[in-house]
Amino acid sequence: MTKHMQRDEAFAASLISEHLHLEGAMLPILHALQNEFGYVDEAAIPLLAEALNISKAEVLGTITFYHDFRHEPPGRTVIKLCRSEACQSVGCEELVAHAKSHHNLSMDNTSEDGSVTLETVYCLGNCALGPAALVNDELVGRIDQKKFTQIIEHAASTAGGRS
Amino acid sequence: MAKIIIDGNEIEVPAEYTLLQACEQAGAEVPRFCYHERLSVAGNCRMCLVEVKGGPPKPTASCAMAVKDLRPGPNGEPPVVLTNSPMVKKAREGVMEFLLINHPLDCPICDQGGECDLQDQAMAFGIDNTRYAENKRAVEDKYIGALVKTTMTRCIQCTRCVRFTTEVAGVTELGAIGRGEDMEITSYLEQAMTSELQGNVIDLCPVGALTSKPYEFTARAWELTKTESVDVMDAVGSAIRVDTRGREVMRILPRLNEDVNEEWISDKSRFIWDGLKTQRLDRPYVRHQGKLKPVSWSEAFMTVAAHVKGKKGSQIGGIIGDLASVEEAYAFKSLLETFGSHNLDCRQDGSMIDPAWGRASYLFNAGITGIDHADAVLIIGANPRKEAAVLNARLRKRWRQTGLPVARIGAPADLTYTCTDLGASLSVLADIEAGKGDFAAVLQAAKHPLVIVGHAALKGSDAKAVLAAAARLSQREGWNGLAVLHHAASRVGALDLHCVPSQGGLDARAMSKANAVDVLFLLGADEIDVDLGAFVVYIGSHGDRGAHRADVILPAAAYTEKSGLYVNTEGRVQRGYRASFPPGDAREDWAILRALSEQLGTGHQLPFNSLNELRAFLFKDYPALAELDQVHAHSAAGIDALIAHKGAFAAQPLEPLFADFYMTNPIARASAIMAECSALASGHVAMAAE
Repeated sequence: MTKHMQRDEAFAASLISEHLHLEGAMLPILHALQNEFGYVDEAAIPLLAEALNISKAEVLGTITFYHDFRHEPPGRTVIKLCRSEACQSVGCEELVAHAKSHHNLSMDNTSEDGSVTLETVYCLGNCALGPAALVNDELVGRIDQKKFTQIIEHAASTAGGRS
Repeated sequence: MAKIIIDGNEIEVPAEYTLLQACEQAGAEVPRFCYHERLSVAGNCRMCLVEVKGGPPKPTASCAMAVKDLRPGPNGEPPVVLTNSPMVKKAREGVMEFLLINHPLDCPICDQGGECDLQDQAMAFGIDNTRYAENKRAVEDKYIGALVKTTMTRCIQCTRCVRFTTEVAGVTELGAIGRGEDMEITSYLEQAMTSELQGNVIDLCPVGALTSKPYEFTARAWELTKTESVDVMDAVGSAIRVDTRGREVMRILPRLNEDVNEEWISDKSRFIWDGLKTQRLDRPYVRHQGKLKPVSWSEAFMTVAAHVKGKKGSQIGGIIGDLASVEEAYAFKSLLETFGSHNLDCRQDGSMIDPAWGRASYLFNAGITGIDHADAVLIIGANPRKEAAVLNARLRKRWRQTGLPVARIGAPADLTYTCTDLGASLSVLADIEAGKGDFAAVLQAAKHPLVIVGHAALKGSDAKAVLAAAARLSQREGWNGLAVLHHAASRVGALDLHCVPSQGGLDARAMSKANAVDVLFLLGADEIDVDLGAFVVYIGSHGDRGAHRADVILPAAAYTEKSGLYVNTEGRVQRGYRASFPPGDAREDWAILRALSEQLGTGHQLPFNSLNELRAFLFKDYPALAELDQVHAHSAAGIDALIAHKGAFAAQPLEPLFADFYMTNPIARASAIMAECSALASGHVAMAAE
């Protein structure tokens, strides 16, 4: 289950201090936070600013610069669907429409039951086998509508699938 | 020094110069948006591209490349830079086209129109058309306070505002979020900025993204009459330009003066102008049966004359306010002298500073530029951030450059730089003199120690002892680091004229007590409460505390409505010029005093009939005041006696000099903008619903 940062400030603080010795510690810390919590909570911004002696505006700027950092807790399964040119040419946009019409899932959103988050990425380096997606960090190629439905149904049936 | 060939001219520049600086030195104009002399280099607007021979075959951002980083030619020839080649022209046109892709074409409704860098440079370096047919992006406007209006769609992401607030102003609220096309400038959590210098981002913004909120849609740059003058909101004497339309002051902008304010001014200096239009005294008043009744000038003068008739000098007193010019103070002093009165004081805040201790005892002797050489700073009872915001930015600059050690005695305050808090009691000063504590060692080792003394530390009977200790701590060969930080624009000038009680005369605090004097003249003195008893004649511009207490009000001109000399805290005499006229029947202060003297009968007449005649008398009596814009930095003349003085320090903690930066004088208190800032600063107001 996704932990909630508000309840885990001490844990977040320990994560921060763990990485503080690194040069350019901000990104390693943000990655660590996202790994542990699934997203980077707003409450982490003052903690980071304090620990790194930079302004809160600067921390916010960094977090928003990288689209990979989430601002809200994700669903139990995270599907990162590639929408760059190669995958577009083999039908990823049809998949996007399919997700919307059949599963009520819009891009860069989480399903209502909290089971699936659908995110956009641009190129997973799997262009030969497009449309490609990362399903919970596992690369899947040649996704068609049937395969997509399978992934969604599997996700809906798993209680805590996100690793 | 390094040799470099720019557009065919060989010049020699310091090796650490950027190409942009070198090009400027060579007289080649390089357009830029993000680059600013006083801010760090960002290199993100790409407008300053030049062609460099010998480097990679692409244009180079001249603001981010140093001369020393260029390679010489194969036979050791100096590197070659071109600013007018076809490649540069094409590169600039390309950059300009990209900048304009998302910039709205709303110049007719943009306040920046007519003084916009983007407009000017698009004319000079852009092409006449666009090839972009898609939709432009739109960005939500942000709330960043009561003073700066944002139109973020116009932003070209130069980040000057972000760099200014973090580097110069020392607040870290502004930042950039997002990336690429989605990049936006915002304040963290969209709160109002907390800086006293935030108005400067309006000048820095090269487009119309950040404009002045109070000045919104009121005037165009080309219809304003520009008058160069001097600011009186604090004792720094910042160079300002007063922009008027007709008789109305529309806005106030900073002027460049490297020795004083560089190119910044505080928000109080910039946004005070709406206070010039409200609460104005535009006709004389006389109190009849407890109520102020409008009267004619001659009636008002006659009332004053009737009350001073037959009074002895000791029964008459005068207090000079914080905004008075030197000429007024001189006329005021001359008038009181005709009564034989010694009750004259310019220190309405109760400061005990005395010109008898020598001119160097009340000046910022190191000069404001001296801050750039200081290697240790002790601040005693001053809060430079509130009392002289622009000077504080200079201290911060030095701190950023060198890690300047700063320690402070006084009520706790955030100065925007690291500052060791030595407590609020002056008794610490004795320890520092005795060499106790870490900071005492730092100060002793310093070659250029700066000891800044504020008036909060000079209000007690130990004022002389404090100044003496500060003077002892700050003397070095060829360096006088005793720096008295004044907060009132009139103070140094009035002290130069010895406008303090002499021969047993009463000081300001004593005069304000009930029945201390029979007739009390207030020359714009509003920061002092005068007890009932004395007959009060108030000469001033605003219906403030002094006017409320007054029995006769003689309406005078505000600082933008008269020509006058002001001496800043470092002893620099500067001349302010008239930008508009006083309202209604109000007159210039010196003229009121001259006319009044006529009515008081023989023996009281002042000998000058014009401002020039007044100045001639003034310069005859005080020749030093004729030296405009001169500073005799580091002179320690005449303070030997002070240095030798020893005394005990009071133990009680120092109080801040004033609670509210935005409410320190009658003009500020009449200003709605200042009132809003003050409310925002004290957190009393709900965030505006924008």
